[in-house]
Amino acid sequence: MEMKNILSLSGRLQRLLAKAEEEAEGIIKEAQDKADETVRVAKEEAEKRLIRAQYRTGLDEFLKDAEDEARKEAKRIEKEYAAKAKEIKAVPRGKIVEAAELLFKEVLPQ
Amino acid sequence: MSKELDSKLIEKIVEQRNQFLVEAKERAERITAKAEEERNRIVEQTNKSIEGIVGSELRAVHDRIVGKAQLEGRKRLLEARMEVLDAVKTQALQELKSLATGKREDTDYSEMLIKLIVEADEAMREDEYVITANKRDLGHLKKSLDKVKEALNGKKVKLGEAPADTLGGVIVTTVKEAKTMENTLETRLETANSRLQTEIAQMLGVI
Repeated sequence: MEMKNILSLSGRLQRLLAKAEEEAEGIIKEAQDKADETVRVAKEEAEKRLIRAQYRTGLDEFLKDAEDEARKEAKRIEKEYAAKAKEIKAVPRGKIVEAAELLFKEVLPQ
Repeated sequence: MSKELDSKLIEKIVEQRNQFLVEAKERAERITAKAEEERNRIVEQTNKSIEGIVGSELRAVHDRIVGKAQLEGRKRLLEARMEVLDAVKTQALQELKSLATGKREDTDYSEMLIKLIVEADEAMREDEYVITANKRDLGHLKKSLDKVKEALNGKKVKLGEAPADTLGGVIVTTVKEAKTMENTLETRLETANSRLQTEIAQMLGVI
């Protein structure tokens, strides 16, 4: 009776393992399928974009992207220059007076 | 005893099952990450290829927008620098006004006027001069006319009748060839300002 129980348990456990293995394979397969699909869609989209570029169709779309990128860069440049200009204008009054004195002395005859 | 064996066996199998699943999930994550990497590579490669095909059009768009921003930025910096340099010039002009009206005690203004005349003489090297100045400075020069002549080694000097519209300084004209040298404070300030602009900008740290 006891031996029968052991065999029965062993069988159930083996089935459990087989099921786990099956489940694991399923997880991997699902990931692989999704990955294949991602790459396939990317390749297909790339091919379409290349063809459109070659025939100059949808050029507006590329130009719009380039324009958006350029505008972002332009904004960054404007900010940088504005900050530099602000820094220049913030020269302390004392330094202005000091420089003016240098200029004043230069005006005087030696 | 048998129950203990059963329990160990079950524990081992469950552990093995969990291990299977953990490894599968890890492998799935690696597969997904690799696919994402490949997708990014394809997009990047495509962008490069497209740029090669329509590059000149894209560069023109980029240059038009970014170039304009850079140009305006540089203009803004230049205006800021000029604003600061103008403030220096305005302050120097104020100091010159103070000097001309006798509010600066560190310089003898009458002596300075004589030096300006001597400078003009050294530049023109003539024997006879007419000196013009504003009303106030003509007054100074009338008082020190002998000193002026002495400084010019006895050369002939006449003072102009009509006062000049100037902040200060002198306008020296030769009698013979009617050459004129404007040695006024404004003229000298302009010259000095042009000469020292870079040095002042560096001094103020705005360049």
